[in-house]
Amino acid sequence: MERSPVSSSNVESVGYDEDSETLEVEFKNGTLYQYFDVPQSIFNGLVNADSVGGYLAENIKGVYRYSRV
Amino acid sequence: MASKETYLGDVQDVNGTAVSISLSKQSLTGFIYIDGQGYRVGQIGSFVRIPIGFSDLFGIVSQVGASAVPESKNSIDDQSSRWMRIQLVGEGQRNGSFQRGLSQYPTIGDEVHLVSEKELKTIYGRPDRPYFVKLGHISNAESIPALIDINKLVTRHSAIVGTTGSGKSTTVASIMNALSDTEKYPSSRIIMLDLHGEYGSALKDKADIFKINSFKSSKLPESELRIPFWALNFDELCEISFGEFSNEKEKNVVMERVHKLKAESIARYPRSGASLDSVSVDSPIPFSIHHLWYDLFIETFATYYKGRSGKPIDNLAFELDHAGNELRGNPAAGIPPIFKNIVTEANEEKINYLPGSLNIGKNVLLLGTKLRIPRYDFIFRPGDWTPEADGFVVTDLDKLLESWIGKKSISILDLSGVPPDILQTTIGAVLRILYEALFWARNLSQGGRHRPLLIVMEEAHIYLNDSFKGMASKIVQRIVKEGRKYGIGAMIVSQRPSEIDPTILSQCGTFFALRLTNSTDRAHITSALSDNLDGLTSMLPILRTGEAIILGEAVKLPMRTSILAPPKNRRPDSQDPIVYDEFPMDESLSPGGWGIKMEGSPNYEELVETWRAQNPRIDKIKP
Repeated sequence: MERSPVSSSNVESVGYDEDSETLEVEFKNGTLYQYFDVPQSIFNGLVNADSVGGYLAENIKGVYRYSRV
Repeated sequence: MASKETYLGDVQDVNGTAVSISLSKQSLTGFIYIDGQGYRVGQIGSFVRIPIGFSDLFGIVSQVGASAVPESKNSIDDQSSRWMRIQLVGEGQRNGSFQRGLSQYPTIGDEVHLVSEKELKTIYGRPDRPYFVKLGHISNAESIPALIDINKLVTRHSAIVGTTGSGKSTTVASIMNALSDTEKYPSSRIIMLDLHGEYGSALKDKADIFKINSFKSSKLPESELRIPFWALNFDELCEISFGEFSNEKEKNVVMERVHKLKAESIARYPRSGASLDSVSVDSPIPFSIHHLWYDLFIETFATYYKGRSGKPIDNLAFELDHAGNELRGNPAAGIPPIFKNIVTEANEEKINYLPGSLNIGKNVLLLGTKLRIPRYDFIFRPGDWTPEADGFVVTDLDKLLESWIGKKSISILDLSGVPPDILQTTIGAVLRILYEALFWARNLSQGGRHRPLLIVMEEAHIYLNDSFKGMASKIVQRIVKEGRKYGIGAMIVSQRPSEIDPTILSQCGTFFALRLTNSTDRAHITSALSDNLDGLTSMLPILRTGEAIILGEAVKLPMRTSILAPPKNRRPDSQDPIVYDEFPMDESLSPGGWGIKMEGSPNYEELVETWRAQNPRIDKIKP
């Protein structure tokens, strides 16, 4: 999956696969996670958020299931 | 006068290499200044010097205080607590050279002096020699680099031991970073058996990573780890495929078959080095284990039409499916044929078992299962190394070896995807292939003698604790015993040294002992050390994280070292799972833990999926 870098204190880059609604998040320490069944609107919100880390904590963490890849 | 300043006391008792010293009244303060630097007197593990004529004897303080009084001293006036016991370790000449071992002993009344940092420097070796690598600095003496001699480190084997969290992985990463310095050592050659996938990120630009079920989109470029079964010798092949045979006769039948297949393969596809006369059942010649299994299956379970003419084997009684096709199975897919049951009724066509059928049903069924299960594919269907029915392979072993030990300095074999039940065998197989290759190539420029290989074995207690029953411990034993001569060195890393067979541990020339709290482990290490240094090993439980006592052949003298950790982004990924993140949620680098609320619809189907598939990666993950 293609990821694009974001400016954040804890997130390095994010990517999104529309067909499967999968969000890929790479943290600053290099670990990579995929969140499943994340709607496009949430992804748009994430990349446009003032604070990516804050948006991630608010709307994604604890809401969608994920797997480390 | 310098000797006055450093004066500690006098030798009172010599018992082998243990020397008792009574401290002088002058050193009462317990603090001495030499060249403006303060030294505490009587620190356990610190060095003392005993000048004798033209040479100096050096010793390590092992005990201080009342109990260091020699046993024979019982009179009241000697019962002061100002005693010190030291262990003699080596001898220094006036010209500054230092060597282990003693040519003479001190005697009663000899003066004992503290060793200043300047003197220590001459003992601890010279940083300008390129065969020394710097791992950090001597604890309590920041200006003295901790140097280890890679000549001794690599081929004389080494062990890194320490409790979980004592800094073992960081120490390994530090050593690897130092050894893979391509400017200093352009041809260094290291293989790491990485059981938990910790080192990939720490050494990413210096290492090739091999992994079972490698993931393409991963940040680290990974290659698929493949271990062709046909490179193993017959005993090892049996261990991973057929299992134990119930008697010799059956084993010999299978051996005969393997030999025949290898001979046919070499006749059809000649390979230099192997000839029809010289090929043995142990030769690394490709053959199809799938077809061997299929043939053995038939000979074990087949039935045939008794009444028909011709050989029984040409009249096999295959069961028919609904469309009337014979269920012949498929050797390449590991699908067995299905045979009709025997028929003995008078008015029907008689079906019987093959005459002289083999009695290896258990072994054949076991192998069949392994040929079908995908998690064994890395060994039975190893990509381009998978032999076809006639023994043809796309690539030979040279490419395998070149990928493992011919490219970058370090190759990391990430074994985190190997099922636990075959982990030990897999490691054994890898080591066997490497050992055989480097052993026989010892005269070549890429062979072991001319480009030695260091094998780093992580978590060694997992596969070296079975008293040489398993493949891994057998080959490791061979490596530690004979590898030195052929340029194959082992570095054994473990948090539980007492579970490693003592034969293996005692062959290690150099020890990096980090904090060890368990007394059994400590006793095990102490007994494996050649030096008589109880004083030093008694420090093991109180070492700080990242601090190690290095002793043995690669260092001139035992040294307590603060290992310089690699930069933050190059540390091994050996973190424990986070229970509650120390960072607030919007800065956290972890998506889980007890502090985050649970997702609305947890999916336990996927959890079971990973278990059934024996693969932590679910299908839903996008490449």
